[in-house]
Amino acid sequence: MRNCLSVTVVALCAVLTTADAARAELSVFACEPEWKSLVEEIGGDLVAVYSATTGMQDPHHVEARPSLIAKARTADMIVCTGGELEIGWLPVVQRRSGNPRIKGNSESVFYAAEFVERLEIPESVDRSHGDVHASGNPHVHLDPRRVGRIAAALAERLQAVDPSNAEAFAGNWRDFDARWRAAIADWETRAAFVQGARVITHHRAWSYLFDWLDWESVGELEPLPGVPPTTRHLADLVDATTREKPSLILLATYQDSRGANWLSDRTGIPVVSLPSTIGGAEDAQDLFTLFELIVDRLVTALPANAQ
Amino acid sequence: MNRAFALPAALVCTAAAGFAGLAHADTGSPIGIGAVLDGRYQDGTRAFSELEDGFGLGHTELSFFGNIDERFRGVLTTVIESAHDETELELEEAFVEAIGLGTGLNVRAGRMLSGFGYLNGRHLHEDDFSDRPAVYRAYLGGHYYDNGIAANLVMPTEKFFSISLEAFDGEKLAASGTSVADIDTVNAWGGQVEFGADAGQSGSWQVGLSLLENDNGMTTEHSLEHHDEHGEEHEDEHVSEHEHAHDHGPEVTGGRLTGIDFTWKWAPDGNAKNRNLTLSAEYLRLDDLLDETLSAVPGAPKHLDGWYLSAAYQFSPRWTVGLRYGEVETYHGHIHHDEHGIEGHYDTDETTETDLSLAWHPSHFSTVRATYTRQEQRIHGNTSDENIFVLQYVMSLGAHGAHTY
Repeated sequence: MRNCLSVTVVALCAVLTTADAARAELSVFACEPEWKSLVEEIGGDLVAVYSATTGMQDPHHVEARPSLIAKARTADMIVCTGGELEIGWLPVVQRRSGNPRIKGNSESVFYAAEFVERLEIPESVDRSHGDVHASGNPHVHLDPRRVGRIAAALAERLQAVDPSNAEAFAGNWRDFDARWRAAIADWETRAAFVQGARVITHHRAWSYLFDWLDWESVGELEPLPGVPPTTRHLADLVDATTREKPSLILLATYQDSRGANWLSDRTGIPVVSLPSTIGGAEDAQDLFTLFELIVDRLVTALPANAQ
Repeated sequence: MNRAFALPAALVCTAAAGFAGLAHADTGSPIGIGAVLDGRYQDGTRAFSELEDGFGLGHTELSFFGNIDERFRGVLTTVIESAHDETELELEEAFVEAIGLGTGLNVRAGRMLSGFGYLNGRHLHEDDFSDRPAVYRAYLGGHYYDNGIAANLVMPTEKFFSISLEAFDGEKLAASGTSVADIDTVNAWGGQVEFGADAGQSGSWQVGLSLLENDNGMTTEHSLEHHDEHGEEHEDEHVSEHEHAHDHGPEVTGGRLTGIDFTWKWAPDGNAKNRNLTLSAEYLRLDDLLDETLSAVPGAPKHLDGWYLSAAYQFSPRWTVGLRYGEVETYHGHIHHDEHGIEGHYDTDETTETDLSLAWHPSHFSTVRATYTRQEQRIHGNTSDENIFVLQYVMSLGAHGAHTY
């Protein structure tokens, strides 16, 4: 028994050391695909990025699956939204993986939401208000201007975590930043004619998009954030639409469309389903194509209904 | 201490800070305080269970948890159970965990749930049914927790591969009648090996192998001296804690418990919010039940086993239906033990259970569940059955640790 145990321990140690030594590129665990894409823009070939969630998943509701623990175990760095978005599963992944590089306030832990101004910070938080985050709305990646600021912070952080490749990261970031600014200008021009549009959303997930486009959300299908639509609340919304005259009902591709379709049938307001992140639609393959698609679907849906 | 308070704001998220996010505050603020309220009305009596007919409180938990510093985390979970005007306070968990060791290693010391099988390491409030499967109730006393030490190592492999070792005091697992003087200081030890991976974007699975060696689990001729001929224990100051009316020890014990578990989860595109399915199955086998002398008695069982298969399907954001079937073997003896030696015989009994549950969970924090159980028992070759109905609520207040897979 004792011999067997020591053989096992030796074998384990061998596996541990080889696995740690064999990795040349920086292994990054991203919580959401938007951050995977951003790390790849700045890290290029020098990083290997895994995304814990896909664009078809609600990032609030992910299981701390065995595969996530395995990926987190070997990661050199973690890049997540933070702001409590991943609070239902990330703490378990961080703890179970036994990897100090990806927890606490180490340099290799990067929470994107910390680097931008957040909207909807509640004055008080109570469970009876639904799924409200004490540090504000965490869905920050839907404002490309904020993504730009996060990119700058991420570039700095990557340089600190892997100084040997600092120059390459800085160069990649400068290139990305230039392309990103040009793209934002283009999207803003295309969306300018629908400024001030009023919209009903499924979840309060689009606040940053509206902040950018200067749109206004006039209601949500969810009676409280995170609480599924109820018939009574939907009926109340029918009345609200006659007052507020929204021109769109907006939901993410992963969300249940029954509530939105019900309201649309009764009010004639069109439903637009948008990818909330990369992978949420087939054509949304990186940050550029994601916003391309969002802007495209919105301006296509709006002309007839624009105010 | 200042360090803990200086953590970035986005990390600070537990109840003390006014937490109300998705639910599961687990990092950041110095301490998470949470309670789980479990109340029920039960009609019928379940085998190997202390919960009885009528109104009762199930498993009311009060827990405190948080990071102690960058190297340690602490968890304290007290369980309050109340029945028949008696309120009992149990310490289910009181451990510190070294979390800064690196290389995939976590070490726990103190009182903790054993990691045996799929269910044992989980809190009862995470279950999809009102009670643990019969095999868990009979072999582990529902859920086995004890004082000891445990280490878990996650290997740096592409697929999930984890190895755990644990050692416990083990007194509560001792065979009935074992005298306290006979009990070793470390009497239960074992471990688990777990593998897991994704199966496409929608599915994921985990397989585990578990072992629990119980040095005082075997019933011996000596321990029998504390029994009468029907296997009932005498009131005797030497007998172990099993005497106690509210003891949570198992129904039957043996020198070795082994288990294999399989879990498969599915959600469309991996998005569990609206619909998801969990299938799990476990097989447990209890060996080394009786010493050499007792094994010679007619009908003496060599080993016992039990298993269950359960499915829980969340078919809408607010509703989950569960179906579970399980079987477990137990035994009892009619043994006369006197100066002439041992006479009598053993019988192996069988209990089967089919559970059907329907849960309504309007938010992440509240569940109201109805569970119907059809229980059939074959004892002495006679069959009996029982219909058990439980209506319960399980609600969580304050901070709530994120659930494991």
